[in-house]
Amino acid sequence: MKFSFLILLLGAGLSACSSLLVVSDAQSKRTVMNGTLQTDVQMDSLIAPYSRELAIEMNQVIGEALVDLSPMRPNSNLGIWSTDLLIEFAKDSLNMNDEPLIAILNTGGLRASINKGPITVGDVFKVMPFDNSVVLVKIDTAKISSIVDYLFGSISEPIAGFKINKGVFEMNVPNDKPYIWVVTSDFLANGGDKMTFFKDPLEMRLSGVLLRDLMISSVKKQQKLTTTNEERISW
Amino acid sequence: MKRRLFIKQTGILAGAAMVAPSLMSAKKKETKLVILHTNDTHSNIDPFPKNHAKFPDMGGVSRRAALIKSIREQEDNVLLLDAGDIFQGTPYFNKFKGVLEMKTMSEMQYDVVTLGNHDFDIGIDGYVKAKEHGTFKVVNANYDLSKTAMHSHVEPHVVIKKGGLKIGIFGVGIDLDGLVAKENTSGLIYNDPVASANQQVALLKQKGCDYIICLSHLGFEYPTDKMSDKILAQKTEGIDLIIGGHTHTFLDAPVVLKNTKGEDVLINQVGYGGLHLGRIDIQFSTDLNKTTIGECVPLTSKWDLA
Repeated sequence: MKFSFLILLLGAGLSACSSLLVVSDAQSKRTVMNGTLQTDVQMDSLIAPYSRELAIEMNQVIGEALVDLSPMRPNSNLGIWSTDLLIEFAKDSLNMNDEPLIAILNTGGLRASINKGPITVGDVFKVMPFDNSVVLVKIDTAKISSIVDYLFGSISEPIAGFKINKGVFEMNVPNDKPYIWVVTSDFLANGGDKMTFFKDPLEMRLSGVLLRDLMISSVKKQQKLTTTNEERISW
Repeated sequence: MKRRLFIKQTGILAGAAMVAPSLMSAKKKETKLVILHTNDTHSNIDPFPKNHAKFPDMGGVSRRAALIKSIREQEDNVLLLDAGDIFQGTPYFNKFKGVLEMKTMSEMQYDVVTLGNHDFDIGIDGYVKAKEHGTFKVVNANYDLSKTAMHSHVEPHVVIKKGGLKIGIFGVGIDLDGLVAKENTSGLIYNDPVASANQQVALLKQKGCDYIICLSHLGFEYPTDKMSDKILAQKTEGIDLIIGGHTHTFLDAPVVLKNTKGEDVLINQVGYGGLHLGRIDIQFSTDLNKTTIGECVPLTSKWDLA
């Protein structure tokens, strides 16, 4: 109180400077929030009922990771796993067995790693927290060059069904049709991350299946997740 | 009755006598402001898992709450701020739709936060509904929200008084195009952060603010000329400190850049997930010996790292 009174008094006589206050010193410090810090009882009791409710659902162990699966550029085992399961789903459940089919996701959409060890429902939620659903987008093969351009611009995204071999697009199964189907998320198909090649598609089909639910069922089916470090994109 | 009146009067007199000498001898009067900050906490209520590849058993709101409480016990003038993306990242968000993030931040007594792109993940209505559980202020100056349900919940700026200081705090957010599903931001109009920031600074100066903080969710820097905290700092004037977010940048110490007038602007960001708590202590002084009219005393930057 005394302090503000002081400023008022002195400030009255000044015109060029609105206040006598100056920053005389600034220091910064960041505290790493590790296990050596105390916890707060009140906060714990606020969180507890929510944690309990959530734990029942999330702590279910549904499989095991034999290695760390992490989202990285240009090639990541998590990206390969995620896009491979999209291809499998599209073939098995969306009648894409005899169609030219590729999968594209975004590195930024895979939000966490699956760490080596038991995999819980909660772990998959962390990887794919978004309620994105799986969609099929049919595009003209003329748009392949803009897919390559996009991947070049971003260095890479998770892909399956094709390779970028030293900058050249190669389908895993040669395609004689004038179109390809891309299995992806509704977020990307609708303009997310500016994947403009999805604009004005020949056709779009919604699966109504959440990408996360698909991941959960894949872990349950595969039980033990292991990966090969495959190079799908090279420039 | 008489006696009590007498005591009261002498009390006032004594008080006046105490003020006067202090005024005379006040060559230097110091006030310390402690700014605590987070960004991109992303619904991380619990610590990261013990088997996490990079950050095992780090973070967690209970630890943060305890630390903030202990700082509040030691310091008089504490500001607690967040630069956005309080939502999305753990199942707490999917299941409880942002309610627990709001409740825990209110429990820690956050003063002001800004909006990140992920804060729109359950739409504008979803945010507003969760915000019923939040006691803090939300600032953003470059989203025109007048045609949305957010308009009565988000202000361009706020002025907070701490220890005789007037702190002006405004917010700027990233272009949401391509980051958020269109239906989640329906009615929101994006405006240029630089123009909005200069406008806010002018308003806050008019209101007599001693220190101006920008809460930004633009991102620290990009390889392209995309708008960022670094660009904002250099293209504006009057901002003292930018508390940033979005790019999940772990800065060891605040970065100091020059604004259009050649004055220092501090930028700080502390990663994500509540892994770190940022702290900036600003010492304000009314140094009657040094300060003359119109002269600026340079900011000395002694970064004490922990």
